[in-house]
Amino acid sequence: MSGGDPAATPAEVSARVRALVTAHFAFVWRSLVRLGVPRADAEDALQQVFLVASRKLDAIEPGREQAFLFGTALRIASRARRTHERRREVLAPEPHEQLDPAAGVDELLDLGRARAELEIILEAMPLDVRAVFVLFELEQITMAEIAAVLDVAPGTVASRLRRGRAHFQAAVKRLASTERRS
Amino acid sequence: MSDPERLLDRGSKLEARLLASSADEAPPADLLARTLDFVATAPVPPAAAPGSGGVAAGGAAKTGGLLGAIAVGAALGLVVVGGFELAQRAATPPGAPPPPRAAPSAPTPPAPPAPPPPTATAKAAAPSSPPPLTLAAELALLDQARTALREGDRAGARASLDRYARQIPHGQLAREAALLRAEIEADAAIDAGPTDR
Repeated sequence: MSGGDPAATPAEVSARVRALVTAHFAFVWRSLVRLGVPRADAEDALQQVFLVASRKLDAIEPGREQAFLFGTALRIASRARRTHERRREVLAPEPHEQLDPAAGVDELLDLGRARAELEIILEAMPLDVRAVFVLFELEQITMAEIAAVLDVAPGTVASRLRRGRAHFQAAVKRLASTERRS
Repeated sequence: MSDPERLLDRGSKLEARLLASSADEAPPADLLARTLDFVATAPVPPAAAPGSGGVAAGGAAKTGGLLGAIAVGAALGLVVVGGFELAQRAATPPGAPPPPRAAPSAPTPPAPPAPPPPTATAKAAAPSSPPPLTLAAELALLDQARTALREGDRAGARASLDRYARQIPHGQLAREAALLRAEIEADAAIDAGPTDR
């Protein structure tokens, strides 16, 4: 594992990586899932993120760990999504894609179904928009912090958030109207 | 920059419900332990730059476990011993107890001459039809993947691992295959630089 600090002992490097995992594994796992990595593949992707982090410890500035990990998760999610899409061409769709469109409101409000519907909505967002939407609406990170995490201008964050919200709200409206008709 | 209110707070009931469903989600209970275990045994990056002479040994060490041990053993000229052990493992029918180890497998030079293959045992163990894929075949596929990765051919490495996963879904080297795939994707992520979308 890369030590970053050339003077760091293997034990120190190992301790830093363990601390990184312990502090951020839940955030990274959630991010991967919200960025479209299927849950069945999320653990592998999580390991890849921390493998990258362990090799690039010297590139992770103190206090910027979350930004580094999210950026890495974004790249790995991008590839995982493409792989998953190729796989879906030959495999049966995932359970959440087989939901009954005529299900009632009560069922929609069920936790599992709500989560599945959200994933379908997020799935249709471009990844850059989705990343901002997820960080702002779900991780409750400020727009200024998102700009720093993604290394983009604040105006870009605002623009992507607007697009993400428009996409989300339009999808929810369609969903609600489907429910009313059923 | 003044942040707008979150939809979770000011959105419609349905919007809030959908968003809350994800906000409440926690990772699997034992994921932390498994991830810590992974980073403790994760591949060690090569000390030399890719393409240099040090990569092969570094790659062997990176893989760790049986594959790494075999590769290191081969580098030390002990491939015959390793091959003997492989033959024993490959000839063992599923569910049978492992054969007794005649000698420690640790490659401590100078290596003793490899014992001759146990002809009678091998003949007795030879099935009437060949097994679907032996451990040696598993090794060959993973070796193909590692060679491709070392040569910078990530697509080829992925293809070999895909073939491994298709042909040997529960292979004895599944852990090594997973580590190798993690290496490939980690390298790809590092090389990708800015977000690849």
